[in-house]
Amino acid sequence: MALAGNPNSGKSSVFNCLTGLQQKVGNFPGVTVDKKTGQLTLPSGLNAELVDLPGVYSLYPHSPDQVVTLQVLLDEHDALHPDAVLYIADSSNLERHLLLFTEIADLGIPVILCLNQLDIAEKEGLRTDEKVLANSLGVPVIRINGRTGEGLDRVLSCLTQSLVSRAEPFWKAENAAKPIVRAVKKVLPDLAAYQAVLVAHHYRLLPFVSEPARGALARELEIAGFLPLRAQVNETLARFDHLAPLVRAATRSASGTKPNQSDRIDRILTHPVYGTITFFAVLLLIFQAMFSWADLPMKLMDEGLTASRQFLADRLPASIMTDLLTDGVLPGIGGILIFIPQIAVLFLLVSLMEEVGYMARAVYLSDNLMRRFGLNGRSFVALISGVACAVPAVMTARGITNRQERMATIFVTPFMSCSARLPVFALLIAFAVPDRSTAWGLLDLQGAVMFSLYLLGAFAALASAWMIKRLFRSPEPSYLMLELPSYQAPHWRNVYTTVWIKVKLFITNAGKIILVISLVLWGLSSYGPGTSVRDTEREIRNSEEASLLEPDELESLIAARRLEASWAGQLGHLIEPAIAPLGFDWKIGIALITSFAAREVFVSTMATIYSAGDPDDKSGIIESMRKDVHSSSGLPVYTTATAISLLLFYVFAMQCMSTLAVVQRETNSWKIPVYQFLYMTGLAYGVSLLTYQVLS
Amino acid sequence: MRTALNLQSNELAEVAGFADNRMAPMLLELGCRPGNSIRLVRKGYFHGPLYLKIADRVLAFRQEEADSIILTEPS
Repeated sequence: MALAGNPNSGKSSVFNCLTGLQQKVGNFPGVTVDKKTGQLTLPSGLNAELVDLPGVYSLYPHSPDQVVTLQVLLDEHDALHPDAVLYIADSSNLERHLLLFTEIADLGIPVILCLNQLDIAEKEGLRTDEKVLANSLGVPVIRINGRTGEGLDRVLSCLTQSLVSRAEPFWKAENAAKPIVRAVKKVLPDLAAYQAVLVAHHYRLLPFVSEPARGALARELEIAGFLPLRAQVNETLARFDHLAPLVRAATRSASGTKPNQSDRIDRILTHPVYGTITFFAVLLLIFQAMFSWADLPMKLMDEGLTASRQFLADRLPASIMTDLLTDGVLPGIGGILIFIPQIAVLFLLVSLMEEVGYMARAVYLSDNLMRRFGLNGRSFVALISGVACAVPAVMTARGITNRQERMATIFVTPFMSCSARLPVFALLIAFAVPDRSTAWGLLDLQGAVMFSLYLLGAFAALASAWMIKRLFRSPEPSYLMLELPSYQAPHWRNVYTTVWIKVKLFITNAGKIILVISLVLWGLSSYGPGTSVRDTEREIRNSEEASLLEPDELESLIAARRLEASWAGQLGHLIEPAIAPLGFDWKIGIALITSFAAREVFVSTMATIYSAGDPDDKSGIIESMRKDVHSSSGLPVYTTATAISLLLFYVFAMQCMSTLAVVQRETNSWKIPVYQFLYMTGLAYGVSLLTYQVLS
Repeated sequence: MRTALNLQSNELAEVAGFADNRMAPMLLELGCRPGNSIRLVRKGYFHGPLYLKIADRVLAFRQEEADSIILTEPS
């Protein structure tokens, strides 16, 4: 069985009602569209699989992602091709919602029409007679309520009866498009008439049409004089001409269309001034919530992880396996779990915005600004969330239908200064920028530098988006044709199902990549060539210096020397010639490598290298940084030029494996994350190089 | 030829057809079809998108898209 309908038909509510949290979520092959499937138990005891098809307005898709619905319904050999379709229609706008219905019925698939959102329709004074409709459309028509689940039992019992497809098509393809049907059938003789018409329009997008068949179709259709846009408009108009009288006969509307509640709310929420103010207030709320609501669970997770590492380290025998578990696997899992609170908070708010109907208004309000950068109104939400964390922010880009706008959003979002950059900025600013106020005490100098780094990140994001728009001409036209649905109270089951699905997808998809990379990074910083790490430790323990040190001082010295002798330490030395022109030495090199796991690791690595012990003790690290001199020249390693160069490096560089992992999952390829890494880190290198060379 | 872009605030008109075949299918699917009523509710600032009511549904179009909706000339 398949669930089909237009966007905003309340389809996902119905799906959640029918399947609950039992649903399985994955990707449709080749595209990043959530594929939701679930089991249905029919009253007869039979089990049926139900798939939720992406919402579309017609079988003429506008983006590669919408092709999924067409492919599943059109190709009888597709694994998901349904035996019957449950069609969900919004009763308050029946005529338009029935367009896709007639197209699906004309494919010869049995359809049950479910009239949804009757409560909204009746509030607007619209009454629908389902018996009249069932008679004129020739299919079972059932009144349902996707929010309460009312009427769904009738849908299930209807499914147990033998379902037949309609005898007569709504639009007679073999008459109306005779030359086209004939042309397609010359190449693919097994297709029915309407299938042939759809193949004529979409054969380039359909995986089941082979390459040679595509060539043959192109030739035949050219001979037949096929004009796709003209044909589509004619077909759509013919379908509406057929539908309009049927719908009019089955519905009665109360006279007078007084402005409804939605219109009154929109007078403020889409107002050029008040609407913009509200919009920014909503963005501020999202931003705040990601910081403050997620803060406590994140702290608890962090403490829980530290405690369990300590617990295991104390009880398990000291061995490589214990090290692997406590220093490799557990922090890796922690690195995945730490994102869950922010993902949950962001998607709670985003899906609430979708549910109440505000998201469409947010897109309407920000479209004018964002389109100039080749982005979309929804990109705005992604960019703002990126200030808290790029990982959930990248995940919100799924709602953007235009492929190029979605890719551009994903590409530039990591430039926004996320919360992981904050500890790095704080350390380096405290080192390089004097702590004093300027502008007659109104402006704190360190704060002002911090703020300008945030602005710089946002500027880099928008400038890069603008460049992408200039460099790559999109094959899809950029348009904004937006339906602004009526405001309604949120349906909490949908909200928490969305949050649950997003968290689950993140753990199962991006989580694996994060775990692997963090294990690799752990190996690099714990082991070295041959026995170098162990030798170093033994050397220090046996040296004279060791007997003069306090036990914890000795431990931090050993940690520093071990790191230096490890593969990461070797790599730090290896890349030193490349990063020396930026003002960095091999110790910063080590920190650059380890902080690829997450930017804030930079601070703890610096603490280890300088054996400063407690990474929370900023002044201790700064003290050691000031004292450090180049062994060859005796000049200080950390000058103001180095610190500023390093700050700028962290503004631009893609120093986050989790973001790369989530981008890989969201774009379904390694191409975008690899380019993203090269572009961001390359830009960071260039800017830091220029800065250091000018300042030093 | 008047298009939806020429509508005054709160002016009521009727859709006659489409100036641009590339936009027509999408406009049709959203319920903007010949014979339907169309009313401009408000315009966005700085040439922003238009907030329209077409056959009682609220739709937002950019200026280019609105310019491809031809209106019936008042007789």
